[in-house]
Parts: sequence; C-alpha cells; structure tokens
Amino acid sequence: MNRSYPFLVLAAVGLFATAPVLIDLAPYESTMGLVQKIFYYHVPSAMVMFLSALVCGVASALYLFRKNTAADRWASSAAELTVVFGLIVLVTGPLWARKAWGVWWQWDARLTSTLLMWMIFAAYLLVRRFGGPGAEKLAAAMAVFGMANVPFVYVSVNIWRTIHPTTRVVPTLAPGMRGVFWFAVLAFMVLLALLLPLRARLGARREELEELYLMGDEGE
Amino acid sequence: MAETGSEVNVMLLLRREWGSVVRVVVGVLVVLALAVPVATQATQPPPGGAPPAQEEFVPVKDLPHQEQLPGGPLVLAAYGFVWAVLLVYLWTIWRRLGKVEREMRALSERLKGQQRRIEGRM
Amino acid sequence: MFFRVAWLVMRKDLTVEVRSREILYTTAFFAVACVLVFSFALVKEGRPLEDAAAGILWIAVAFAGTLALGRTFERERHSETLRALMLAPSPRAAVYVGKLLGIVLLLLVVEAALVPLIGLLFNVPILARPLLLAGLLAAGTVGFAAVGTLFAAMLVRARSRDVLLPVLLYPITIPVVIGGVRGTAALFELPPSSEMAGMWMALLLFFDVVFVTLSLWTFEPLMTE
Repeated sequence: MNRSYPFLVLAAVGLFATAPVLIDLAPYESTMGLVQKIFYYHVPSAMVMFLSALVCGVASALYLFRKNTAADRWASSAAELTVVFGLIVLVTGPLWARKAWGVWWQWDARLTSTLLMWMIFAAYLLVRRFGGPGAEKLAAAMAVFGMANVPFVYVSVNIWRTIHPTTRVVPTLAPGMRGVFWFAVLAFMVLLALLLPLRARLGARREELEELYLMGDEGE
Repeated sequence: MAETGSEVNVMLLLRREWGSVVRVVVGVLVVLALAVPVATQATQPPPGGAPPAQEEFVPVKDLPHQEQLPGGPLVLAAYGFVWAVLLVYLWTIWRRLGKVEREMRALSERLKGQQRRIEGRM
Repeated sequence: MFFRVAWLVMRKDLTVEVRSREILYTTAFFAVACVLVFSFALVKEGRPLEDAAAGILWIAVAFAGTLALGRTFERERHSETLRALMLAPSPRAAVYVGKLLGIVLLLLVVEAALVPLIGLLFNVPILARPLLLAGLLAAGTVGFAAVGTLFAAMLVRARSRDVLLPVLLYPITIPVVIGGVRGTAALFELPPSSEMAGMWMALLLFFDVVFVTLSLWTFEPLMTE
C-alpha cells in the first residue's frame, strides 16, 4: 500500500477494459471455434491461482520458521485469493469443456488435482476461521503441504495421458493469439498485485483493532 | 484413468460420423413427415384447419447439427462469472475494511473519553 | 538417542493399547462396518461395480485411520501426556516418529483383518501378488499416517478437533488414496498387472518421502507454543 497503488489501479482498469476487445478480435481456434476464447481468462486465472498458492506457501513457511506475523498476514491473504481465482478456474473450465468435450467434468489428472488444490486452500480458510486459538499455525502447515502439491499438479498433465490441453499449448501459440493471451495474463497479474496488498491491509487493520481492544481492557 | 481420454476421443469421433448418418435419416424423416399430411389432406380435410396431432415420437441417437449447443452463451456465461466473482470479492473486502475501521473509530473515541476522565480525576 | 526415543514412544503407545485393546477393537469394527455400508452402495444386482473392492478397501483404511488418529491423541490429551512428552529433553521429531510408528502398526493390524474379508466378499485374488499388495498397503498407510499424525498432534489443542482432522487430512492425502486404489485395482484384475501396480507403488513411495520429510521439518516449530 504505497504511492504506486493508484497507478496500479489505473493500469488494471485500463487492462481489463481493453482485454474484451482484444479477445473479440483474436482469431478463432480451428476445432473448438468460439468457445476456445474462454482460454483467455481460464488460463491466466489458473496462473494467478498457482502464483498465489506459491506466495501462500512461502509466506506460511516464513511464519512457521521465523515467527514473522506479517508473513502470516500475507499468507492468509494469498490463500483467500487462491480460493477466489480457483473458483474462476473451476467454473470457466467446465463451461469450456461442455462444448469442447461434451461433458461438464472429466475425472482426469489435471482437473482432479486442481480441484484438490482448491480444496486444500479452502480447508486453510476453514481452519483459520473455526480453529480457535493456535489455528494460524495449523493453517500454515496446511499451506506448506498444499504448496508441495503445486508442482505435482503442474506436471500431472504431462505425465498422465489426459484430454486436457498440455502446458505446451502456451509457448506454441499462434502470433494472433499469443499477444492477446499474454495481455490477459498481465491483466490478471496486475489484479493480483492489487488485491493482495488490499487484503493484507485488512488483516493489518484487524490486528490493530485487536491491540486497541487490549489497551482498552487494560485502561479499565 | 489413462484410457478414459482416448475412449472419449473415440466416442467423439464416432459421434461425429454418426452425426452425418443421423442428419440424412432426419432429413428423410422430415420429408416423409411433410409428405404424409399432404397426401392425407387430399382425401380427408382436417376439421377446423388445425394441424394434425403428432401420433408418435421418433427417437434419434443425436441432435441435428443446428440444434447442438452453441458456444456463445457458454463464453458469455464464463466471462460474466469472472466479472461477478471479482466484483463480489472486491465488495466483501470493502465491506470488511469499512466495518473494521468503523469499529476502530468508535473504540478510539471511547479510549480518549476514558483518558480524559482519568486526567480529570488527577 | 533419536531412535531410542522414537522406540520408547512407540512401545509406550503399544503397551497402553495392548492392555485395553480399545482402539484396535473399535477401529477394526468400524472398518468392517464401512466395508458393509459401501458394499450396499456399490453392489448392483448381486455384482460389485468394477474396481469396487479396491475402492472400498482404501475407504475403510482412510476412515478407520482417521478414527484411530483421533482416539490415540484424545488419550494423550486426556492425561496431558503429550505436553509432558514435549517438555522432555528429547528431540521432538523423535516423538513424532514414535507416534507415527505406533499408528502405522495399529493400522497394519486392522488391514490384515480387512484384506481377507475383502477377498472373501468380493472374490478378488488377494494372494496373486501378496508382496506387492502388502507393499502398496504399507506405503499408503505410511503416507496417510504421516500427515495424519502431524495434524492430529497439532489439533490436540484446537477446539473443534473432531471435525477439523478430516477436513485437513483428506484433501492432502487424496493423492495417496488415488495411488493406493489404482495400484490395488491393478492387482485385483484378472490377470493382475504388476507393471501398473509397480508404477503406482513408486508414486506412493514418492509421496511418502515428501510427506514424512515435510512433517519432520514442520513438527518442531508447529508444536512450540
């Protein structure tokens, strides 16, 4: 939350305003047609979800081993954003699959492990909310184990034969699609850079409030 | 687990091939269905000019091409969902921040009042 | 020192268990009840669905394991013995290893009763590749119990520990359950496919290494108040 924040907001608004136009102008895919355009927000949200999970895991490890409370704040913010972006991934994916594969859901390695990862971070939020005193540490352990799951999810699609497009699709994108795709990735990354400090600020304010309450108790 | 992918692909291929066969069958059925009333009309005029009631449903394996799921609504639904989730999330953060800050202001007012009372007593 | 502490903690748990046999009997009965409940769900017109036997076996192991973990640490909590163990001048990771070994042994005993029952009820060839089947069960049990022991130990202080243990445990250990079910299903096929089972066994071992390392690494800071 520093001086660059308003510029980030402006950038995000600009990016998200232009993205639909660019997506509309991008060429159609040969076999899937119009529905392939979901790709331009499905994959960037997935990337942001993974990044956010990674942030949560690293911050949780820092909290566990260094007892850094600021790291804990960032970890809980990142976990919440992982769940939010994961929700986008898990809803836009089936909408695409309905047309491309003819089914909403397919029990293949990629989909299953993404759902699993989303559940781990949802459990993180549940523990923090209902675990009572000491829940921060429990949640931090959950995040460290969840982070260990991330590389597993990433490579799973290349090891097992699945019908989900592999990660090789992205580096081999056609020129007309490549620009639009990376534009969308940039938009989502900026959004993450915006939301993460905002949510961390909420955590910081809550801690301040708690301290104020303690002071009040001592005063009486 | 590994087989399901290829199985589905084969199914899709089969379905595509079946699709063309089915389309021809449906076309023939439609022509027949149109021809039968014309043929019967000549001998027996319908009462009140109402269309004849459908006497049987003809099952087909697959939908004709023009009735298959269009991609447009799916893309729009996905796009709308992204916006809805992000806006709702922003709104919840804004609301939670507002609540915490309101509580903080009320609390600091109370603390100041307490301090004044303590100073007044001294 | 490390292994001696681990050995002593395990022996203590087993001695308590051998005297009362409470956890063993209740867990084993619960596992059998699970098998029956899932049999009713997955048997259609007298014939089980494909791979139902492997699935039911691992569901029973996972559910019974959760129950055993909860009871074992409830016992420690009741008499504040876990705190005493933590206060003792011994490496905490050794305490973890001791508890883990105790739970793995208990679950292996339950599985030894469960597997013949599954073989009998579903008519699957449990003796076709006995070593591979035992290896899959042992590797899966270690992976499941490694995470389970860590979280159950942490949850001793938490308020709603009964609900939170499965909430935390299942999402993390599902890779282990997948590996166990697929590997066992490959062995229960006719003819059994050792190659597939071996691949899943390798995956299970990989997860065991990751989970045990992470648990040993985080147990110390997690149990510090």
